[in-house]
Amino acid sequence: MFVEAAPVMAAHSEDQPAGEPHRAARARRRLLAGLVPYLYLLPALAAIGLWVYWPLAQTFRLSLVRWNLLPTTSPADVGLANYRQLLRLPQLYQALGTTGWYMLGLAAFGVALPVLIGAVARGLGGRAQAFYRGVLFLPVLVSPIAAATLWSFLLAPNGGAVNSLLGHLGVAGRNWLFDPGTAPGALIAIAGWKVLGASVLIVMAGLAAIGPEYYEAASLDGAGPLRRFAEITVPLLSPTVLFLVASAVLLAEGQLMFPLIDALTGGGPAHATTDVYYLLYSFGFTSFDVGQASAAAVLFFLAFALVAVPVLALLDRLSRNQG
Amino acid sequence: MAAISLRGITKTFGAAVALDDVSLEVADGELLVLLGPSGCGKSTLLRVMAGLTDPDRGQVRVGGRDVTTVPPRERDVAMVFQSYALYPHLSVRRNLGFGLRARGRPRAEVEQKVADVARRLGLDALLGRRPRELSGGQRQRVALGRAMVRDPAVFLMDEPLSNLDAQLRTATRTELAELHRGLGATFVYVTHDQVEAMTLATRIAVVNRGRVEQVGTPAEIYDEPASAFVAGFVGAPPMNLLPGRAVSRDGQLLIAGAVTAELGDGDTPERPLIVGLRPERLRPGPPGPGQAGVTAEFSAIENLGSEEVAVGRAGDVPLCVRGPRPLGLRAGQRAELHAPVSELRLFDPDSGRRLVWVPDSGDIPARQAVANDVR
Repeated sequence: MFVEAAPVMAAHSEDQPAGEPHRAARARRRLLAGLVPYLYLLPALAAIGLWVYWPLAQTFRLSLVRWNLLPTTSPADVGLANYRQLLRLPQLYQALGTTGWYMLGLAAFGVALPVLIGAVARGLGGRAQAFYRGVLFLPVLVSPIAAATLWSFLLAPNGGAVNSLLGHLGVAGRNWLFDPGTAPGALIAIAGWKVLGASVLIVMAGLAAIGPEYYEAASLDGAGPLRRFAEITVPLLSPTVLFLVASAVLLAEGQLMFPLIDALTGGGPAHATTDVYYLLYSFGFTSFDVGQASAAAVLFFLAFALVAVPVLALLDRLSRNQG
Repeated sequence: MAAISLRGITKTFGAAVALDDVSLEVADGELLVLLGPSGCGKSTLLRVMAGLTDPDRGQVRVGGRDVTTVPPRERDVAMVFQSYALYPHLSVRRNLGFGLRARGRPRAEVEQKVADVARRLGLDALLGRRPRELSGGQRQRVALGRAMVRDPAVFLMDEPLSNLDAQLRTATRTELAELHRGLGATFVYVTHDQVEAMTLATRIAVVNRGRVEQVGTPAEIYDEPASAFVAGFVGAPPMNLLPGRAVSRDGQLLIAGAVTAELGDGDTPERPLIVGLRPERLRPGPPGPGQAGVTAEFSAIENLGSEEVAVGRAGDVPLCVRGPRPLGLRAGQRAELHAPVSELRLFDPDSGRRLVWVPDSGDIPARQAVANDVR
């Protein structure tokens, strides 16, 4: 009769694993294993909680009270009065308009111009490219306050380099930072000067990440330079562009414009350079109206979230599509 | 359908010479494999044909037309990249149709041809997917389809199977061979995998250090290597290359050194040689008449299933024997081996080129080219 042959194998010297471990011990081990990822996340979560979400919650609470920041007085609950008052202030709408201009300016210097520069610089040789990149990047390394001081010298109405230069060319100089017609533009130019380098660098990194073989395949497929730009560069660079929209426009509007406004114009002349962040700062720390400032902060937080969430969602989708 | 002709192609990158005066003829409808180790210049040669790399000197002709300065899109060639280079943001359908759309073909024609190619490659069900949603094998097919859809005269393939797992590679290799027969187009195929080269090629060009060492059919490359490099590159394990000397004694031509053999009548001043012997031609046992002998010490026996490879050394050079299991050799054993004298391949130690004995001339074995030598 036939019997199943046992597979031929080398003798095993190892013992069989010991019997089933205790069920309780196993459950405990599984629980611990499940916990480990959260333990790794804990420090970062704690930091974000302490410095972002806790202040955010505080802001929301303070937006419902009237208080002048003095420890000797206690906050008085006023409900939504701060919000109602805020929405009646003409200053708010002026600041919103200014913010819009700043964002447009930052979009030009932080997104559109870098894409153009990146596309052109891609064709340059390695050494020339490194040089221009360095030149463009240097302003990024200057702290905003130092940059503001530098530009206040350059833009000084009497003896400033800009006006002197214009004088040589026969153009009348202006008081750039104290003329409501020119002050917002001057701030945008300074912010643009600072934001351009980092954006160019990011665009160039984005361009470098597009493998040369796509362009090679497309050129073999018969696509000319324009079609390659439209069908390869633009779609594959779109996550980078969206990232720039998020960082160079949304983030820089808050983080870069504020020190420039504070150091150069103090929000003037006649509130011409006050944007929403500077407005809420002056509510809080010039007028010491914490409730009003917090109400403004909550509103702006929601407004920016409304813009940022779709941008980030789109960014996520685009980068995943191309992964 | 088109033949390709390269003449005197030279390309340097800085100080590195990638291609050194390469001339090569690819016949219409043939599948020529460029075989060589990495960095030998085979991919650069392919890119020169595609027009992606401009040669410093030399001429490229496709279908009789000088295309040396013609941009890639006007060369009527298609390329399958090692990375496939599928456009990641486009669906399979749009990837396949890209070349036709870029050439401004009417929409109906694009759809028709994309559907044809998709059916032929079994991609119908995947047309709506993006490249990242495909397996490696499916991506490879799409890359192939993108080349086929334009119906080019020449297909250039840069290691198209190197990103596939072993099993898929074998299956796809067979399909590629069928595709080549079916399309009748000219294929130039770059690989460092000699199994791919041997099984696919109508002819192989072995490239080394920017030069073509030998062009020939797979059998010619294997049986009659034109240089020690080709002999030592092709074969698994490759040809054993052992140092030796040619001497004559009493009008008899002898090989001395690690390998000993009698070559017959002849007279030569003593000269150094490299003696080549395929591992599968060697058998254990002392040499008889008409046989070459070599003694080796074996350190390991590798079991390949149907065959065995015995790994050892003859003197201080490595030597392998390959044959049906069991070979009758053991690790640690010192054994005599023999092979027919007709299996010996002799090379010049300095130039590495093949040496053949020409009886009539009666003097030093000439540095005579074998039939398919290209230098």
